[in-house]
Amino acid sequence: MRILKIIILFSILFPQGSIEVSVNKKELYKGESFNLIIKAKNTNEFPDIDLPLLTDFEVIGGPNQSSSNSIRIINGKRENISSTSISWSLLPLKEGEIILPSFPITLDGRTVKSSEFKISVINNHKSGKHLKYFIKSELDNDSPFVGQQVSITYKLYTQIDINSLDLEAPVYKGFWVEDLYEPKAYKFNRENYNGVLYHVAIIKKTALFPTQSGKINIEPLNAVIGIQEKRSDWNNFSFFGPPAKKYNISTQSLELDVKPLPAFNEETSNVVGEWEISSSINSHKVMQDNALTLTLIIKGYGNVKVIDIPKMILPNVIEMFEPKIQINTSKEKNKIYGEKIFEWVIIPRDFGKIEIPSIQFIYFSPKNKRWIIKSTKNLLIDVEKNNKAKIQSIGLFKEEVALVGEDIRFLDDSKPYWIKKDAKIVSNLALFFLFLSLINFSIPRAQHITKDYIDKNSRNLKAKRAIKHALKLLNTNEDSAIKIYTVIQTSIYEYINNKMGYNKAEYSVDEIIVIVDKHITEHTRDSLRDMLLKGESIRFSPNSTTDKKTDFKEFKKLLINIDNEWN
Amino acid sequence: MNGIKLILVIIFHTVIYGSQIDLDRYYTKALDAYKNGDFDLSIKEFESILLSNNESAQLYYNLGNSYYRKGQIGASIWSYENCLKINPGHVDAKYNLELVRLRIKDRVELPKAPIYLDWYLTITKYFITKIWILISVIILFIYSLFYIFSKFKVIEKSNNLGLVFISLFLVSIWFTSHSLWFEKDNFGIIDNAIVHVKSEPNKLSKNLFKVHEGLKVSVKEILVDWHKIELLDGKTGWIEKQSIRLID
Repeated sequence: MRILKIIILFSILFPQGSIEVSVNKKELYKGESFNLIIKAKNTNEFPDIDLPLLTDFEVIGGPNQSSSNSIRIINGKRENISSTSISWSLLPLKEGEIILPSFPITLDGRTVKSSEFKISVINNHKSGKHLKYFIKSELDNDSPFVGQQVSITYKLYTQIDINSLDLEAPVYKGFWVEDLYEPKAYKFNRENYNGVLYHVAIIKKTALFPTQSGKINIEPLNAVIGIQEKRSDWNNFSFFGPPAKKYNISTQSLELDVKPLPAFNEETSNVVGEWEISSSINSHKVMQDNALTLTLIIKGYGNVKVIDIPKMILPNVIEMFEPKIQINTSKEKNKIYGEKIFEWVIIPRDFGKIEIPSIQFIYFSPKNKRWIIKSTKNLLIDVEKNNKAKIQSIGLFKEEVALVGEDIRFLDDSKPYWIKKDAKIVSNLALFFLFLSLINFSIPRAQHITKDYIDKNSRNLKAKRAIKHALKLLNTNEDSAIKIYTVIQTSIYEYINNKMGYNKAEYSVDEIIVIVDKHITEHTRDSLRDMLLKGESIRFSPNSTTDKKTDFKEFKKLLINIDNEWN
Repeated sequence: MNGIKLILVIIFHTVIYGSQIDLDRYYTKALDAYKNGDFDLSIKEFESILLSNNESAQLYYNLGNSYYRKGQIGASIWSYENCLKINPGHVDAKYNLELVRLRIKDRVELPKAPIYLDWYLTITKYFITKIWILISVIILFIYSLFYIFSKFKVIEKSNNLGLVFISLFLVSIWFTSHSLWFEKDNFGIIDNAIVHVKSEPNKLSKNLFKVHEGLKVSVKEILVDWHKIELLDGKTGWIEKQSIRLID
C-alpha cells in the first residue's frame, strides 16, 4: 500500500547509480503539504539539486538529507547496497492543478533534468469530500472597531488518533496580541461538521486588538501533525512498533474589515471597550503638609495597556507626585479583563476644606457604538492647620529631625573682607611668594655664575699680561750661565702659569711641551724644546761653551713668538 | 599750608579708601535694616553691593538670613552656598543651610560615601582653590628658604627635610588641582516654587518632570534664555533662566 502511494515521476540510470524523483501524494486537500523526494541508489554521493523559484508552492521543510548502507546476502553472495536521498516538504498555495516545474539534478558530474509533474489541490469544502484530520480558525467578529477585541479560535478536527501537534502561530501584523487559551492537553468533543462526525478540540485561542482600520489579513496558522501509522501499513522491523508520520497542515488565512473609530469632538482617546471608573482617598481628614493617597481605578473589558494617565486639574494648594501604576489582567469569558490602578501621593499645603474635583475618563464602547465619558465623584478633604507648616516633617533624615523647630543663627557682625567678584584665582600674595621663591632658588646659581665669570675675567687678564711678566723677568744683567738659564726657565714657568691660570713652581720640559703643543706651531714648539733642553744641560754642566748671551736674546724672541702664536 | 596738607590727605584718602567706605556704609545700613526687621531693605542694600562687583562671605551669610526671614528659600540657599564657596569653614552658614534645606520639597538621599572618601572630600573642600594655591606657594617659599640657607651653609643641609618639603608641596598641588576640578562645574538653585523641566529649550516642548524651589542642580549648558540642568539622580532637562539662580 505504502509503496503504491509513491508515484515515480522520473527515473534515470547513472553510470554508478540511479536517480528516483517522487512525491508521496499527488492529490491533496487545501492546506495539506506533500514531500518531494530525490533518491540516489548505489552511490554514497548526494545529488546536487537546483530547485527552481516556486511561485505556487511554499517550502515549509527541507532540504533533509539521509543516507543508508545495507548488506544483502543472496545464495552466499554478499552485496553492499548504499543510497542517499534529499527531500523537501512543499505546501501548495493555490487550488486546482498546479505544475511543479522541472529542475536540474547533477550526480557524479552528469546533469539531467527532471520532467514536470502535476499536483491537484482540492478544496475540501467545495469538493464534498471529507478529510480525516484538519485545523480550522474561527473569528468571533470579522468587522470590529479599531482597538476592539476579536477572538480567534483554532480547532483541530480529526477522525484518527493524533500522536503530536506542533503549532507555529503566525505573526499577527496590525494587532496587539494577548493569548487567551493554549491547553497542554487537548479536550476532545464530538462535533458534526458538514454531516461528518469528528473529534474536535480547541488547540489555541488568541485575543486580537486591531491597531489600524481597513482590511487586515490574518496569516494561516501552520502545524506539524504526527499520526500513528497502522500496523498493517508498516512492514519494517522495529522493537517499538510503527513510527509516527509527520504531516504539515495549516488553516486558511482570514480577513478582517476593521472599522475606524467615529470622530469625537472634545478629547482624543484610543481606549475601546466597556469600562468602569472609581476614585478614593485613604483619609478625608489630614494635617496640613501630611501626605494622602489618591487612588483611581479603571476596570473593564478591553486593552487596559493603552489607558493613559487621566488629566487631573487639582487646586494649587495640593502638591501631587508622580503616580504609582499597577496593571492587572485576567482572561474571562473569551475576553481580556483589565484593571489599571493609579496611586498618587498628594500633600495639601494649605488648611481648610479642599475639594479634589472629579476625574474624567473617555472611551469608545463598541457595544453602544459611541463615545462614553465617565467621571468619578468629587472628593472632599478636611485639612487641619499645622503649626510647623513651613517645615515638612516627612522624608527627613535622622540628623535633620533634630533641626526641626530650630531657628537660623543670627547675623554675622564681623567686618567683611571685600573681594572683587571677578578677582583672579591666583592672588597677588601668592604671586609675591612665588616670585620670592624663584629668587631664592636662583640666588645660589646666580652666585656661582658670577664667581665663574669673575674668575674667568681675572684669568684672561693674567693671560694677557703673561708675556709682560715673563719679559720683565728676562730683563736682567746676570752674567753667569746658570743664572741666565735659570731666569729663562723661571720666565717660561711664569708665562705658562699666567697663560693657563695654573699656580705651579716647576715644570718638566715634557710637561711644558705638552701644555704649549695645542697653542703654538710645531716649529716654535721644537725651538722651545731645544732651548729648554739646552738650559737643562747647562744647569747640570756649567762649563759648557755655549754662547749664553745669544741664547738669552734668542729666547726673548722665541717667547714673543710664542705669545703671538698662542691661540 | 595746613589747609593744602588737609586737602591732599582727603584726596588721597578718597582715591584709596573711598570705594571701601561706600561699601561699608551700605553694608552697615543693610545690617541695621535687618536688625530692625526691615528685611526688604536689607536685601536691597546687600544686593546693591553685589551689583557693584564686590562680595564677601559675611555679606552672603547675612543676605541668606534676610531671604530666609522673607520666606524665599531658593534665594536663601543660593546666598548660603555662595558664602560657603568663599569661606567653606563658615560654621553658621553651614548650620543655616542645613536648616533651610529641610524645607526643600525635592529630597534626594544619596548613598553614604566610604569614610576615607569622606575625609578626602572634607580636606579638599576645607579651603577654596585660591587658598590651596596660596598654601602651595607658601610651602614652595619655605622650601626655597631652606634651600638657600643650606646652600650658604647657614643651616646644615638635610636631604630628609628637603624630601618632606617636596612631598608637602606635591600634596598641596594635588588638592589644588582637585579643587580646581570641582570648581569647573556650574551649579544653580531653583528660585521658583514649582518649575516644569522641559525636554527642549522652548516653551512648547514636553514637560519631563518638575522641581521645586531650593533644589541645587548642576548646570550643564547655558543658552540665551534657557539652562540645561542635571539632577543628582542623572535626570536632565531645560528650564528658563529666570527659574534658576547660578552660584557665582
